[in-house]
Amino acid sequence: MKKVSYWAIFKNGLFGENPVFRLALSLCPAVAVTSGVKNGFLMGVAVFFVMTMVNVTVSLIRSFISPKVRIPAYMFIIATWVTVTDLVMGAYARDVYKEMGLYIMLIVAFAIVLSRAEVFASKNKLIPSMIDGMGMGLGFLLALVLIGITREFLGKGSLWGYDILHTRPLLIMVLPTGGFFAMGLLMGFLNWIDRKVFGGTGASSGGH
Amino acid sequence: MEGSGLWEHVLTIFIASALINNFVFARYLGLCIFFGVTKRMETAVGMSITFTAVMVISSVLSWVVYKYIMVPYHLEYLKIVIFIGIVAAFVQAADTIMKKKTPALYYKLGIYLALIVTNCIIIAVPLINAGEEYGLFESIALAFGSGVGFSLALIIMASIREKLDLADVPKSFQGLPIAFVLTGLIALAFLGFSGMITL
Amino acid sequence: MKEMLKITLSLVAIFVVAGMIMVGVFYVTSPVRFKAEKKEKEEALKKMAPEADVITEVGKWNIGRKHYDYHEAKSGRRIVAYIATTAGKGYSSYVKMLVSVDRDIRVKGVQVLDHAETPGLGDQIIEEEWFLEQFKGKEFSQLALLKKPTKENIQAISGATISSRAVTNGVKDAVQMLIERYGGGIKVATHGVKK
Repeated sequence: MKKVSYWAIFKNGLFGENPVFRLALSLCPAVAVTSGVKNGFLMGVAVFFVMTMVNVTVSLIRSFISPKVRIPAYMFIIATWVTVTDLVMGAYARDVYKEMGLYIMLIVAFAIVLSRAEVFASKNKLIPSMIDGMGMGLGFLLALVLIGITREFLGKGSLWGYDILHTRPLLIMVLPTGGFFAMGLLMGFLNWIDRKVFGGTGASSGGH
Repeated sequence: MEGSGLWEHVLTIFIASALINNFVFARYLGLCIFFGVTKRMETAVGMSITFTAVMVISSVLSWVVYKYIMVPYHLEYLKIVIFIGIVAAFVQAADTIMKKKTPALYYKLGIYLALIVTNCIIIAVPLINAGEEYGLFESIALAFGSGVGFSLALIIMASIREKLDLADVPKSFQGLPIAFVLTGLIALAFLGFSGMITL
Repeated sequence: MKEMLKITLSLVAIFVVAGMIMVGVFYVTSPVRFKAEKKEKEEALKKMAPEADVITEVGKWNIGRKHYDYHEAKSGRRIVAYIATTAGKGYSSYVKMLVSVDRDIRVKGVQVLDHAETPGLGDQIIEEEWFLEQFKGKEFSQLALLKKPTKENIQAISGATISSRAVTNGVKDAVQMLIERYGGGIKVATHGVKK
């Protein structure tokens, strides 16, 4: 990678290669925990922490690890940080943990974390790797909050648990199936904006 | 559960995990792979077979390790690391063995093996087994049920998406967005199973 | 050979360091978590019988193969309530609850501890406060779920019938167990009552 400003790396995760809307990676939590803004936000925070720490760790030991065993080594590092997050949330954020305990543990299998470790952190120095992790994590958080806002507002007429509309305009949005509709419609809408306003290609990548 | 035998309970877990709590449609897990491999029927079927096999075997391994090593030594808090380690090691071993012994099969299914490690379901099932303190047969039932449920989801979706190529979809919705909306519709249909059994 | 050694060593080094981090975090967080869980339970129990000054666990009971406990709440020497943890099978989870009854084994209150019912539908068992309120003062024979307005029995929440049934069944199991243990003089047909 040539000289690229830190801001560019950071922004890349937020918009250019937004993990959820653009790379279409790690969609499971994007649908699963976003029936409310609060859960989406807290899940995003957990992922943000894990991604930053994993990128930092991988970058630190990148010259030390033989390429032959890098994937198992990365998996182990990810699992370690997820365990730490899980233990800390289990002790200090009880309410959240009760609701999303399983999904916190599943961060370990998120393709986005492994893919950033492999694609970026294994080839870059400490600071850029950290910024990449933060950017990607924040991009993820942003996406979850956006979906959470859409679903909670339309489905329950409230935001972060505070009742605003006093009615439930589209109850289906908070139901299990609503997550898929919300995702599909939001993605389509963002593509449309991208094409009309920014003149981009406006196509979602394949999805892995 | 009420006074019923173990087998009835096992059957309930199997059906519940395959249909009612289908991992894709009701618990939203395994979506990355779900959208990745459902573009063509052939890949969907290949993934289904590989996934179900890996699922069952790795959850049995996880169960043995959890019950006989982790619980006696109070290592439950390491479950994430250990389960992902078991899955990764097993997938690696299967990869190597298949390549040597059955190259034809490897040629067909090998590529799916690599994808499996980043599938949330494969790690979710041992975690649920551990959390619910399931016995061996219940664990197998959950693993097999999840495998069948996931296969069902993949095959239904793949058959629809093959047809979708011919449909006139608005440009912004082509690809993933329409796939999401479709999944929502199938999930709506799966809600119909909910009355069958209450878990 | 030398490369193998290097690879192995580097992996072992990672395992050891990571293991140490995890064990360290575990030792810091597990007492905090243990205390938090204990406090949560005590607070939940206290809420079921605010007038009591001691609540002690007196035994275990089970539904199917799951184990639950029950407690006696005393104010001074007088027993003011019996409290049982219980659960009912809902739509997508077990709805775990605390049920308290008075000395005549009439329901004093119901509190949902933990559930994973569908947001927006099943979770109305908590959000619609009138639902849990209905249980107050009911005796065992009145614990039947109806799908129409009722004063005598329990009215289901429309759109959350399965979750409502889970709560009703859980409460019923607990009350039946408490009658068997403490009912003594109370004669109730505890068998053959339709769920």
